Formats: sequence, C-alpha cells, structure tokens
Amino acid sequence: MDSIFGLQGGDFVIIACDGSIAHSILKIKETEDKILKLDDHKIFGISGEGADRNSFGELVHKNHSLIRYKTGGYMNLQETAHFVRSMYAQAIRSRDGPHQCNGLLGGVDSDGTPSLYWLDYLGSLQKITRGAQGYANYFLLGLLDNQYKPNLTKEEGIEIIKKCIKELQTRFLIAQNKFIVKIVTKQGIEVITI
Amino acid sequence: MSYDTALTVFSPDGQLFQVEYAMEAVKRGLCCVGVRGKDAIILGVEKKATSKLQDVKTIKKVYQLDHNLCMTFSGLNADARILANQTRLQCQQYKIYYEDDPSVDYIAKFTSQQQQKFTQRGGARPYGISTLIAGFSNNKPKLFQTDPSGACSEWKATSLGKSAKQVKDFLEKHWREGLHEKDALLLTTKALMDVVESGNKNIELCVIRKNECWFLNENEVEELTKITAQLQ
Repeated sequence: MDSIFGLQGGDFVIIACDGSIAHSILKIKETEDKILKLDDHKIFGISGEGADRNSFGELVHKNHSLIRYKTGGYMNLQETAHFVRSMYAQAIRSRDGPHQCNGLLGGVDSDGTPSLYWLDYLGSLQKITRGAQGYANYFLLGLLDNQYKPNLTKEEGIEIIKKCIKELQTRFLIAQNKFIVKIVTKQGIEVITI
Repeated sequence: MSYDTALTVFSPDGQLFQVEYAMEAVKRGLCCVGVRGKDAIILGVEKKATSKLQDVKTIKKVYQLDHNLCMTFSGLNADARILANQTRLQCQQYKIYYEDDPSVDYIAKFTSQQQQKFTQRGGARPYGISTLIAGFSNNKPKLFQTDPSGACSEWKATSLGKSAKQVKDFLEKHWREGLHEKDALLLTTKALMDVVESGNKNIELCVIRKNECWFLNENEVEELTKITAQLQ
C-alpha cells in the first residue's frame, strides 16, 4: 500500500513517499519516513511491510557504511545500486527467502551526476529517469511520462511531484494525506513535507 | 621440554610463551603514539618504506572504524588489517541491534576479546599487534590500548613499538590535562619526530574529534613537522 515515486532531473534526484502506516482498517501513523538516508548524497526509498522495510533498510545502511570503512573510499551510485541488488539476489535462494520490499535508490555522485535506480525484491535493477513502486505505478507512470523532460530544474521537479501527490489524493482509494519528499543535490539532502 | 612452541601450554612459572613472543613482535614494530586532549584525540604512527621504489604515501596505518572512531597499531601490518575489519563489522552490528553508536570502551573490549580468543586456541597464533583505539563516548574523548594477551586499558597518552619507552618518558613529562587540539597535535608530532627518521613522508597523523576524523594529508603533515622543528 506504500507509494514511493521519484524522478531524476538535470542535477538532482527527488524521491517521495507517503507517510502512512496502516493496520487493517486503522491508520497507525501518518508521518513515517520511508526514505532512508544512506549518506549525505544517497537516499533509498523502500516500500513493503513495516518489518521487512525496516530490517532491510538497516541492513543496507550498515553494510554500506561497512564497505566504506573497509575500502576507505566512497561508493558511487552505480556501485551502491549494484551492491543493493546483490543483497536482494543473494536472499532469494537463501533459507529465509527474499527480502519482502522494493525500492527506489537515488542520489548524486561527487561530480554532480544524478541517478535513480528501480530495485525489486527479486533482484531486478534498472536505471530510470522517473518511476514508482507499488500502487503508485498505476496512477503515476502516465503522469510522470507526460510531464518529464530532460534536464529538469529542481523547481520543475518539485512541481511535478506535487502534481503526482494531487493525483494520488484524488484517485487512489487509500487516503494518503502526508507525503515526505527528499531532494538530493550536490549540496546535500533537502526534506519537505507536503 | 620446551614450553614455548605450543600456545596452549603454560610454562612451569606460569607464562604463555607464545603470547610473550607476540608482545616481542610488537616491541619490534614501528612506533605509534596516542595523545588524549580536551576536545580531540591524536593518533600518530611511523611509516617506513621497505625500499625507495615503494610509495610511502599509500601506506595507511590509521584505520577508521566508524565516523568518529579510529585505530592504529604497532606490530604485524596484516594482523592489524584483519582485526580492524572485524571491529568495523562489530561497530555496524552494534548499531543494528541498539540503534546507537558503540562506546569506545565497548569497541576496545571487543578488540581485546578477539585478541584473547587466540591465546586460548590450539593451532592458531596470537595477533602480533597492540592497538590504540581512540574515540568519543558521552562527549568525552577516550584512548584505549590493547595487546596480544587480550588486556585492555585506558590511557591519557601512550606509545607502542620501538622506542616506546623513550616516547612514553617524553609524554609523561609534557602531557597535561585539557590540551587543546592544536597543542595535542604538536605534542604528538614532537614525540614522533624524536624517534622517527626525519621527513614528513614517514609520519601519519589523525585527529579524532567528537563527530569526525581528520586524516592529515601530506602537506598538512609537512607544515606541522616544520612548525614543530622550529619550536624545538
């Protein structure tokens, strides 16, 4: 039931998530942050059951830190995306089974190049310029395709995200009031709540 | 009968010779120094090129374990690398379980426990290193030392390796409580320069602050050695 969606612009990446956690007919929380900060220039939006989302998110975050300390270096987006993919892929034929969550990994490399990656629980990895996870796909892909153009500015990107949010609030059965939007640029990560 | 070839054999006078020999390996290692200041801890270590062809710049002997935790050592380089990687893993595991950074003494105890494991296992040898672990806990700077026997202790300032005694005497005379970062840095550099072959290429310095670690680059070390030489 989570909506995670995002797009990549000329020099930034935006990922937005809905803030709600629900249990059968109850809305437990409206302000849950489902976008994990991996470091100052990378974010990972995860959609899935609460427990899997949290545990996989923590695994990715800690393993990412561990690799950085072991190699003494910085992992760029491509390396990180492939690393997360390999975590998914190793899990699917393991005793505990696949990690039951999907994700959107986005960020900006040290030279300013933005990238956005679509990952799913079986280990699919795709570099994309705009996309979504979960039910949001049905409502937003058309809108994102329509509005997207190469080299968007940050302000244009935020406007498109606002349109996406309005679309979900209008047409999606499950009322989602609060959305958390994170924007990564070369300067760092900005968070806005819509 | 010789009691020193097997690790798991005590000698009649209660010594574990393999552990003692491991500490000898440490004593022959290159010098390293740790100084605890008021708002920073300085780790300094001697680097030595085995030949003119080796690029000394690329030798890194201060290992970053976490965003504000570092470790250096005297003794066998390769053993240090293994122990550092195990400790880095433990830092991250602690964070998964407790959602909080491990304290410096937890990490120091973990490292010394790892070293102790190999003083009680047949078929394996002890780690040939003593480590200096520096970081912040409860906003207070802490410096710990571990050795091949698995002992762990906290220090205000200490040194390991060759010439350790000489450096420790120097530190005993000149260390005082509440050193600022700059003074601690100068003290560490001076202590190292006394025993290291001259040249900034042979010293590696790291400043551990409350939330970050600053690894001095070549130029900064050179600056510092120049200032220290002038002060003498």
